[in-house]
Amino acid sequence: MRSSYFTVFFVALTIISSCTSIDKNSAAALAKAGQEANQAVSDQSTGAQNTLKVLPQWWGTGQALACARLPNASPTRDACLDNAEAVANSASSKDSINKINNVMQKRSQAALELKRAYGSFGDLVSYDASADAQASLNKAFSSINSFLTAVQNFTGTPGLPLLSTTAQNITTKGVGLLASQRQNKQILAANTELHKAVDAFSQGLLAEKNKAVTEDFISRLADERGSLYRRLIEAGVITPKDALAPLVASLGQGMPIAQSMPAKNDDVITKAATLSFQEQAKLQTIAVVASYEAALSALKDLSRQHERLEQGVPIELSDIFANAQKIADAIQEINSGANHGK
Amino acid sequence: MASKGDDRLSVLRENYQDADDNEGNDLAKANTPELVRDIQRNWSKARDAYYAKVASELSATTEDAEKAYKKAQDAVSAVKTARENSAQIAELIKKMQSATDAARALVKAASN
Repeated sequence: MRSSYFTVFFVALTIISSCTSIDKNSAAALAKAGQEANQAVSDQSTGAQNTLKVLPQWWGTGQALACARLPNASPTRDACLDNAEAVANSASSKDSINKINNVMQKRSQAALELKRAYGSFGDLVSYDASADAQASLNKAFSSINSFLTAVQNFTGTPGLPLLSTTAQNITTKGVGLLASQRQNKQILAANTELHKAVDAFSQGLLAEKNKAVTEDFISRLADERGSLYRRLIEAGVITPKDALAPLVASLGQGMPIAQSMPAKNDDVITKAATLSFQEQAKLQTIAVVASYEAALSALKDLSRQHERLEQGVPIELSDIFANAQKIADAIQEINSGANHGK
Repeated sequence: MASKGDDRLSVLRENYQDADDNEGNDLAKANTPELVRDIQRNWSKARDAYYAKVASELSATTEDAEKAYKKAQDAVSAVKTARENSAQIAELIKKMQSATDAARALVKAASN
């Protein structure tokens, strides 16, 4: 009788549990991919914010350096230097920077919130509800047995059978299945919410105008760096020789750069150094835009994979990881270009 | 570069780029303080126009960013709740208690 009762109980739970199934390994991998992709998106916005912070300094320095093109101790140079600070940082430029910074900050926050959500999603997936339920039930059975033992001792009634190990195993397994099924439902519900969130985020960033303006703006930030570098060379703060040294080294022939350059070639070397850095800046611009495209692709991929998880179709994460890697590589390239320029 | 989204931004970018790239050469040719100031002011206005346009366009889509932020926060709450619910064993305990009651009944029946 006892055996048949537990069999019915176990079968019923098995049927209930089979209604909701989810590939937890896929869900865990999706959680990891979601964290990486959103961290990359956040890094990108933070990178733009960091450049925005130093723009007033770059503009002020650049405007003063540009005056080096005017004759020394001349009224024109005096006028240029007197006016440099006023034009470098206008009220309008400060206002624009604040507004753009605000947008970048919100993007970065949204990406970080999403990253946190994916982290919690990973916790949810890795949490073993079944084990927890079994541990609780084992405690309950242990209490029952203690109770039964106490009753026996109190009443002196012999023969009250304690719950057998076999019975406990069947029952705990059944309850464990209930817990797993409940957890699966929670994972699916969380997956749906994340799907909505990542869709909203990527759709906002993908809006045609928004995308075009962002790409234009972040590529202009790379140009700002190039512009300042050119002025530093033209004013003689960076010697053209030093500016060309990384290029010579990159040729990989191990040939040392000359200690002194012929004075008659000053203009030639200055022009070469400026052109070299301008081309370097263009490469950075391409990298910046490529990393933004990769970020958008990673978010779109995340959305697709959430859908697959909902449908119980095996998910494919290679594209998301590849895009996250692209963003990381691009950021490294941009930073390496920035260091080259310093 | 931004022609797909807004041609005006492309024009403003080009204008700023031109003023910025050529400011040094233009200054070198200026022979009066007035000309110098004009060149500098032109650079400043070109830059201000470009960044004002970027700020205006991006701020117009701030609503999208805020919606996305709200959605992200909702997702965080939803996942947190899901996690808590899963971890919350109270409901499960009720089911276990039913099973326990049944087991006790069995024990009782077996001992009769």
